[in-house]
Amino acid sequence: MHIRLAMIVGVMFLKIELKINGKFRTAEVSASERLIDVLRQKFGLVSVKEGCGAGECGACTVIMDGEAVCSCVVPAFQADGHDILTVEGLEENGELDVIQQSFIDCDAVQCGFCTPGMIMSAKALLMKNPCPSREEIRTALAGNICRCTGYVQIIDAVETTAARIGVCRR
Amino acid sequence: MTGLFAPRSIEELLSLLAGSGEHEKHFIAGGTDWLIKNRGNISEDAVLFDLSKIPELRGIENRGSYLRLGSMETMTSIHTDPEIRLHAAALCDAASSMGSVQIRNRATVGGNLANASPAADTPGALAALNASAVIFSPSGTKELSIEEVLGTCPNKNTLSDSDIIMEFRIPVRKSHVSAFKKIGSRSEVSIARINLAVSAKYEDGAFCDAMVFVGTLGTAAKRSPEAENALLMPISLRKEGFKKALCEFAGRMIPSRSTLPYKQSAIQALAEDVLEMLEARGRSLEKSGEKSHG
Amino acid sequence: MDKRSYKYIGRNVTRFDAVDKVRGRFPYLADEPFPNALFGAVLFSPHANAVVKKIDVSEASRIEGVEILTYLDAPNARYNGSEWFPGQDDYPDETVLTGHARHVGDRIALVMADTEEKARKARDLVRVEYEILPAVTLPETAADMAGMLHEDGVKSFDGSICYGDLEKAFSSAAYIESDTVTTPKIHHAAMETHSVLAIPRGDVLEVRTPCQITFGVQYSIAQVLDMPLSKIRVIKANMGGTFGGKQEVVFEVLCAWAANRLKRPVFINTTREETILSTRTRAAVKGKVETALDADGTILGRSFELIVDAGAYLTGTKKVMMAMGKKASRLYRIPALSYKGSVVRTSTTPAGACRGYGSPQIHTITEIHTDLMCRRLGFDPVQFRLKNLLGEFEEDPSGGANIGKARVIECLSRGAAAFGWEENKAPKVSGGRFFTATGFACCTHGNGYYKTKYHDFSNMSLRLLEDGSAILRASIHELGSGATTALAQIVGEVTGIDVSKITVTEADTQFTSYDSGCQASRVIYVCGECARLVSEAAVKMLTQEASKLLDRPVRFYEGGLVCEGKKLDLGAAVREIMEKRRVSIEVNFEHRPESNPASFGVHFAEVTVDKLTGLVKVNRYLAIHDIGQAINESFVRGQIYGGIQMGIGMALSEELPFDSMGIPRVRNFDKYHLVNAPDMPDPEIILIEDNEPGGPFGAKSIGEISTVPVSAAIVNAVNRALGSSLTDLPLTPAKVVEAARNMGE
Repeated sequence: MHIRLAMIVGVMFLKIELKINGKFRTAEVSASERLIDVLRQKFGLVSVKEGCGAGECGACTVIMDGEAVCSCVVPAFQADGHDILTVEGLEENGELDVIQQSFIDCDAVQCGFCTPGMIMSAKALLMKNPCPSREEIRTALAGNICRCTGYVQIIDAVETTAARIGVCRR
Repeated sequence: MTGLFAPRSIEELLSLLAGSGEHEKHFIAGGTDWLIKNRGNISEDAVLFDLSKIPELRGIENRGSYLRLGSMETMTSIHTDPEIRLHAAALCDAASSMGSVQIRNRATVGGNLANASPAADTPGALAALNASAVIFSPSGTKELSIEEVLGTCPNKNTLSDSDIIMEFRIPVRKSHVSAFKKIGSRSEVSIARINLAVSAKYEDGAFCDAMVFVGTLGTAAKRSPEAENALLMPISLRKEGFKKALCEFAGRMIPSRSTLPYKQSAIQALAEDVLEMLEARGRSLEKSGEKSHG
Repeated sequence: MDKRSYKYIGRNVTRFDAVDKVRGRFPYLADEPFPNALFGAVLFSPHANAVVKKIDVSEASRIEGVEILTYLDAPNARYNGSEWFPGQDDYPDETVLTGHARHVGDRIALVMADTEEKARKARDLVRVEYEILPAVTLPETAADMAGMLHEDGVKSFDGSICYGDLEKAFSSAAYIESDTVTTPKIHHAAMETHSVLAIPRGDVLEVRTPCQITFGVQYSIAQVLDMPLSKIRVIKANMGGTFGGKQEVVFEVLCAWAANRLKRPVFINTTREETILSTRTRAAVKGKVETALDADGTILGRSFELIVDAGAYLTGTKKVMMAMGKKASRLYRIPALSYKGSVVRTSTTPAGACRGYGSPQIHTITEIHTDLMCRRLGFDPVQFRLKNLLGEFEEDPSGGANIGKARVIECLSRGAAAFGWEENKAPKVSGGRFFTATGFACCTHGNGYYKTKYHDFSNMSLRLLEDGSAILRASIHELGSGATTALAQIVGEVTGIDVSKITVTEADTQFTSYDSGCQASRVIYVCGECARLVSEAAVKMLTQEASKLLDRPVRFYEGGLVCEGKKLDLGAAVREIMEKRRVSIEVNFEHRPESNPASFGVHFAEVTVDKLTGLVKVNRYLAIHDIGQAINESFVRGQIYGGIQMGIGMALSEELPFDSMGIPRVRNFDKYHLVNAPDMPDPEIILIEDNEPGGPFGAKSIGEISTVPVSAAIVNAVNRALGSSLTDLPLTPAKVVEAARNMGE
């Protein structure tokens, strides 16, 4: 029987191993730490924003094993063994991802605080459904709150991305 | 002494549990509710068990007479599963209407029941589907109906603090249809103000063997015998009878709540919509039956 | 100049910060921990009205490295964080920390440590004993309970505006119609919560804050710390939204005081709950409006009586209340008017500036009233408004600035045609319980402070660099709306310099000139015009200097320097002028606007109301705005979409309710429901661009006005759908169901 635990009297720590933006990483995390804390504080991935701390605004959205999750309600110890993708991991060789470029071109960015989370939710949608309808996009982004844009140009950007990826014909 | 454990099997969990004695225990499923409730005030001598690495708590499979649904399955895995869609449509509806995509990707069906929120979505659906929960504890394994687990106290269920929900068993019943719907304050991502789950046998447009559960009337899901009876009424009277019965049921459950007038109105909308869903599903069931037999 | 020949004006230039923002590399304050800074966790009161009897920090201070400052340490100086210039007579009733908590979330102490976790943990170990006093939660009875909340005993802060012969108007009226409308207390919900960093640097105290008025922050800090303004340097930090929530000074003074006292950098950051409970809100208003009409529906006079809920401190709420009154005479022709507002303090989260600065409230009140009045009297709501709306260059009888090139009549008539108002006038029923109808509302908002009690001018410097690029040194506060990019477009249009080579600075009180800040919808109209004028001055200087240099006449033509028919390279010219004439092309310009026209908008909404669930779905939406000229059309559209999102929320779901003990019922987004993507319509937008005099290239404001008519348009549509007279916002499902139940049954 194999028990993976590290117990220190009075404090709880667990050593986790995870993949972040393609690289294997390890971290010591406490019971009350959240995935967002690990990403921001331990790995400097500050694209991951805290807007509510309750899984209600989506600013902290990252992709975990291909699925969008709110990193503020993922216990850090549950990220052990998983694959995390943040906005910082979207660029390849300094080139923006199509979705990032579409957000720029459609003027889907205002204050920018919700933008990384919004992009990750949209990215997760497009990974599963490369030709989403406008309604499917709305549902995929329902957990991402934006106070600036009224979502219209964001939804445009997701549609534009889908068109640019070229799988679907409109 | 405090501890954080991530057991890799039920067996491992069992031995850890045995060693944890009288310490306060936390079982962490998807963590979505747990973190919000407990972050920052986990007591110093608590023992935490992460359930996410236990394979026995996973899986959705058709075992002939029932669907086995691991308690750690997420809302997303549930509502995208073809077996659930086919045999437990109400659960599919409930899982797909809970929270946002991000929350559905993390929140588990076991956690939803264990958390005992009166506004929970999946317990009512499971109850209406006549599902049972297999509960595991150091003293043994037991199978309880969802109603038995839910109990009657708001924000509390009948599970003891070393009980773990292992799996759900949802009976596979020919000719049965089911549906769930909720009303929140937004069309998506909203806590239910009221929800309704129904399953029934469908034959030539008529219903029988109905089970009707209403959520958020004080507790997560309460069974309404009057609404079940109303579903047996002749088709011409059924809709109005069902609405009226549910209205009366709400009045019986929360007679003095200020929210009653609203809930009585909203439940009529749910009654109309859920009935429509059941009828549509019944018709397509008959159609597919004809096809497969023909 | 022919519009179509513009190089940048009206074009969708990409905002400067877009690339960083999509890469997640646009750092907000919380993203860049400052070396050696203490994290400050504020100890907030859990009670609505309570006096601290005992505060015990012993356990908390046993944690190593923890610093604690309580109300006992704090200066007694009272200030009003809405003031941005000395002499503004806003009643000061706030202190940096307090021993008398006046709302849940009031500031009792500041607990600091090297990490957030430690600071918060220590904060939670501070033991406070309170004597709990009765909460003051109802604005209607707040004046009578004033002494319980504030020792000053001031019952209310009243103001009025009056003109014309109101008595005659009402006595000669064929109809007198009255309604009372209530608008809710609302959370701004900028996605970035409130944060501030203060750094002592020698004798200068540096404060970095995502704010809207750096010079106001500087002034508040100077007052409380009793320091010269020149020794306080306020730098506008990157901002994740504000909507007025970061316009007033909230945590800046506390942070600056603590840093100054400890001689260490202090960073305060807040959670969503803390931002909701402890910062600012949109003031809740209960307004009674009464209108006197003649027999054919011409407005003869109008009177208002309003109670405005300031929350626990006066803040800028009296300013907001007066701003509401100032807007009342700038939409319709109202020969006689009486406006009486009373601002009261309650033991709830303070109010303050919020997108529109009272305009959403006053226009929600009057536009819902106008629709209900028209229905009761049998007037067509479009025709009624067309008859009474102001035409171009009419005077504001209350003494405000001329309304300018008003195009509100065009907005309404074009909007009504485009939305199919006539065809869709009658409500439709489907499925027994779904009622569909359309509604609309008109509105106005301002363009700066000219002819108000506040001064308005802007001062900028433009330097043309030796490589042909340019820097506009301006005290801009980029809120996310794209203002800095829009100003660069203006500079680029005038100078011909490629917009990518233009840098527009944000405010830094040490290096950029005085400016009243990003408020009052003044940025495009006032600052934008200043940018245009400073650019013209720079071009003029450049041509003069180039002429001297070459000893031949040099002209500026079609975006470039021309000398005897030959184009000159701008960078080379600047370089040579600097080299040979020892002159740099740098111009400072101060623009003092002599106009403050009105912007106008009319919004149409089609909604479907489920009479059993009370849920309202916005199916179709049209926003039509008189904006003079779009500087960047895509930015304008973005502002309008966002304004609609905010206004639908105010109409249907957003409110911050408190129970009778003053305990907030909402603390986070689980119960505070903003409109999310599935409930947001895809609005159609029509812009009327007819060149407003006094604005850069004819442009005027859009950011605030875009949210002003939304709530009334939605409520009017719901009321038409149900035949109801709902006036208590938001129209929650329970209220809608109750109204539907009373429909002709």
